[in-house]
Amino acid sequence: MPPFTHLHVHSNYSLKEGAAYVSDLAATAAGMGMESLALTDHDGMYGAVRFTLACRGAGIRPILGAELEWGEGFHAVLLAENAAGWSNLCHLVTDMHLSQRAQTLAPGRRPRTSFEQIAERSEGLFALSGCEKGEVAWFASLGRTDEADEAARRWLDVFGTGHFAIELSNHLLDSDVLRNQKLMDLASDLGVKTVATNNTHYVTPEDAVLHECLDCMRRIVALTSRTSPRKNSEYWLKPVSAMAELLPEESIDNTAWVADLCRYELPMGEFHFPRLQTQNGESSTSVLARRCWSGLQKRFERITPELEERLQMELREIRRGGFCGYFVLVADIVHHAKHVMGIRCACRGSAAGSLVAYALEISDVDPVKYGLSFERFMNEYRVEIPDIDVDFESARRQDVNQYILDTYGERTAMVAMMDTFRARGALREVGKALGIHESEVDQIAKAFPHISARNIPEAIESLPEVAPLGLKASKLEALFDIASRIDAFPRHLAMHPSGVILSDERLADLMPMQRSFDGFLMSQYDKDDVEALGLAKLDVLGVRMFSTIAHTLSEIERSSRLKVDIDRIARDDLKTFELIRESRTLGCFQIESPGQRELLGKFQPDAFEDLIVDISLFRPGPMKADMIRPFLNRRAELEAVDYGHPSLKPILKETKGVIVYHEQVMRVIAELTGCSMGEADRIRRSLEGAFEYASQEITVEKADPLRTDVIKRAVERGWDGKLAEKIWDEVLSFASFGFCKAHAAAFAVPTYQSAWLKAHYPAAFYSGVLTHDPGMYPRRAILADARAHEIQILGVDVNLSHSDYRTEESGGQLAIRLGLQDVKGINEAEISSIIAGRPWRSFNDFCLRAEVARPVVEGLVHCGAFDAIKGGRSRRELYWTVEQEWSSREQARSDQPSLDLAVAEQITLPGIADYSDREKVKAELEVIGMDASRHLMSFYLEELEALGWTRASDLVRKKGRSQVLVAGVKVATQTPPVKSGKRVIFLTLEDGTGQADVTFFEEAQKKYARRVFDGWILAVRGTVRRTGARGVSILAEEVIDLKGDDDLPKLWYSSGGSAGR
Amino acid sequence: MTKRYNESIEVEVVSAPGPGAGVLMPQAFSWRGNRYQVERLLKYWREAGEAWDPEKVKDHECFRVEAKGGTYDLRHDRLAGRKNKPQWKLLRVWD
Repeated sequence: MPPFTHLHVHSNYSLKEGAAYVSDLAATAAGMGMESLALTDHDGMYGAVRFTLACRGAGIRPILGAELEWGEGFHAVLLAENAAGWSNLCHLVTDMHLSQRAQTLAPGRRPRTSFEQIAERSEGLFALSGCEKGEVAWFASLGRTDEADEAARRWLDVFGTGHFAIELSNHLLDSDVLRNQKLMDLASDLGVKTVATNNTHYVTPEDAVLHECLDCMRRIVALTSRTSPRKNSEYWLKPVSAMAELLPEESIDNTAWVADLCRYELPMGEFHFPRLQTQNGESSTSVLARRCWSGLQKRFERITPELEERLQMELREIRRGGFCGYFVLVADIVHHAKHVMGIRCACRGSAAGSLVAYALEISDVDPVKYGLSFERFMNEYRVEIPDIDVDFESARRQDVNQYILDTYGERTAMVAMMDTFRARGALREVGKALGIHESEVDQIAKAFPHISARNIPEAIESLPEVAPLGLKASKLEALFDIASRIDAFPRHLAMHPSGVILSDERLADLMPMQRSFDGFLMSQYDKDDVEALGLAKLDVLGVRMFSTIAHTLSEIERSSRLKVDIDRIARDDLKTFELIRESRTLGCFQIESPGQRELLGKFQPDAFEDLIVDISLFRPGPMKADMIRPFLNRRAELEAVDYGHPSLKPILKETKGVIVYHEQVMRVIAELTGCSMGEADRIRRSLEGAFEYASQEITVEKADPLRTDVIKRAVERGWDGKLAEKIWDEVLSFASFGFCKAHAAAFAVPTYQSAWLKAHYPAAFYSGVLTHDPGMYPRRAILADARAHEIQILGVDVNLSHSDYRTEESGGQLAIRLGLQDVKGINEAEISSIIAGRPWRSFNDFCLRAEVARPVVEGLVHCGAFDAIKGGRSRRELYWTVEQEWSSREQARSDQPSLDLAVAEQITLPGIADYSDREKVKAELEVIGMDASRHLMSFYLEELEALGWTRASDLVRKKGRSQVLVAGVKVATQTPPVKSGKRVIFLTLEDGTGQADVTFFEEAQKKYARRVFDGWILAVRGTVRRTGARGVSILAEEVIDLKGDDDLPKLWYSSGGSAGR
Repeated sequence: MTKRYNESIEVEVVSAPGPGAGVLMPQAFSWRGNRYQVERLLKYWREAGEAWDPEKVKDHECFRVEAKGGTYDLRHDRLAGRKNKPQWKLLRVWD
């Protein structure tokens, strides 16, 4: 067989125009003995990096290119011969996507370039004339030979015979033979070579149906024989033999010539760090060093030789890696965000272990004081680029992104994120394309939990929710078949919310870019691609707790004129730790979940360092590995502390001999072998690689060589062999669960700060939590917590509420005034109109002047926002006024415009009572999703007393195994994956005095699972299980649904966000 | 001038030799009671089967042949036979 290369190939990165995984294409081509393969997706190079990796894995050479639409809709295939060509292709694609036309495309339409642009960017590119939509082929098949000839000459003028070829393809279509004949004649007239291509869209003919279906989704049409793009199923990755049967030998042979010319490969395994633009030509190394030394003086009163040495070492390493410019850039961004824009921010992750980061104020934890290691972040054995992740106030994250893009222009771009098909989305879209009725598809799609499309057939078999729908019908088989086969196919390119590429002016030559939905400049590459290409990026993460803290601080300042410098507060505050030890931590960062609160009760932290331990221990790994119990026992002095060897005591003292942190694993290894911390980190990482999380097993063949090596070196250093083995085994069992202390320490800061604020300024803190909703609980649970802490709640009021939640003086105490932001259906313009028009003197005044839609006005009436100005009228009467007012407006609109805008006179309906307390709460739940005027449970007191109710706050005094009945509003249900496969349901009920945590095992689940999931005001009878001095949980035996036929809505549940299953 | 028929026909086939082996080539066909001997195969192409139905995803094979009285387009539906549907149709006749 002659050597042959497919030069015109689409993968599923053609976004609904191709049905092949790049990995399948590469493997199939390699399996057919091909030496190279091109990828020419539509509109861009989304798959270039993954394709390159796939080809390398399969042992073939990738050829990179794209198929672009230009002019009036012609197609052309461009292949990169060299770096100049690639850069030109990137610019063509980027310009095309950024063009005016591309911003407003109808569905199914593509962005376009022009012949002139291609001509300008032709250097280093090889042009193929394209499929039947290519300019030359198009005119040739219409028999317009002169125009075909003229077109071919134009291309030839630009590219020359050495870089242009005419594509011949034969899909056994009616028209193929004639067209090819004409193209061959033309080619021989002009002296242009022909190449055989197959415009490949899928790997095997069986996948033609996928292509067809995807294409209809793209164009938003139902799939019929009329709309189908498919003429037949011949557009697959054919072997040479099949191609040779269909097309002339010469065109087959010429593919090798083209393949040989196109030798560009993506540069991987190199780093592209931003080159810094400094004013006086100062090197980035010098800028970094200068800033670090002056930063260090601000951070420390006295610069000890130890500090000096550490900073020098870090700077040396950073310079060696070439990261100086990157650090300076990140420091600039963080500095600007903090001091100019006033946004709270701090870095997380291993970077927090760096003194450089601390000196530059990128991080806020002192790595020396807390024993954090720089080598965990960066060392001579780490080949990947160090990533600095910085947390910013979530509410202002876009401002930060915008600032970076505005300031650094074309030197930065957002990282993309490929949205892929998953079960529900796949079913919805395939169903629509197959013309299955929307409601039917919707019902089917809804029945599916978010599972991957590949698992749909099993899901039909095994999921009880899905079985009764009777989906076996043969009509639906096609739906499921196709949906499951497009599993994980790229769907469209979205913006990664946090990744910003930091580069320099070369960026536009390196990668194709386009605009995100909301207008940000965005790479066509995702996070993994960017990493593989060695580009530096900054993760701009949004943390709601930072916004919460910012809001709390501004509320404190507003109400008491006190400026709290939260970053300078003492970290040993008694009141704060009292709150933490009593686990009154709802709303606090990281320590608010039922499980965390149980742990806090047992742990009884009393120092900042304890919070670092607590955050590190409360994770699935350490919990499963039972690391918590030995630690707690030793801490409570129930168990002796054993360090294994005196030399390990300084390393493990802080955690009572239990290995909790990565940094400890590294130090123990360094202690055993005498190796550097950098090498210790390498060994730690290899150990991590030997551990498989799913089975919780260590792969012996990977771990054993490490063991042999470490023990040999330990013995050489004079360790007793047996002891070294024992210590190694200890390291082995904890290494995989250890946590990065630098990250935990960084997180412990907002944890402590939030607890401090809650302890000292509860009203301001709750207003922050309610405004920014940072945690796992629905707002109404936070509100209940505030009430339990004796803070008064003031309802929505058109004259007094702000958009957000604020503190307000009431009876000498600070209370919380509910904001307008959560009123159902309200928008920002309406809020502005309400605030700008104040004071509102009466309801009629409001109707006259406020620009607020009727349903929102009704909502405001309903939840009592006019109670203070409604005079003697009831909310029901106001409703009447709304009705009158709006129907007269209707009339005014249909009649002649009238100048008489006076609102219908006050309507009084004597004898109509105002809302009862119960109705008020019902209305609040409907409009703002919270029981604001009083706690929901207050309506059930009588019933509960009769049942022998125990309040959540009284549970702590109950003995183990005693029988209790707890009740409350459902706050959360969790069904964590359990290794044994037996499902356990955790239910948290909130009753106004606190929360009760209930556990359901199999027996109780059988009877009550439905009730637990569907109900929302529940009482549970069960047995008390003591889990520690303050820890209580209840084993459920019976569940009573208190709500019954009650009319209280459960809107908070659907609108409350995080309370889901 | 062509006329569309889309009528079922009986076809005698022979397996194609050499490259393209496996394709069943029409040798003769019977239509409306007459038997037509295929004199020359003019063209072979493939058309999409019925849209979207994965059961019918296989392409139809089409043949343009010369026989007594003119040029005929025949279509072979490679899956239809499984459901007792006629496999061969006469699509159109070229005068």
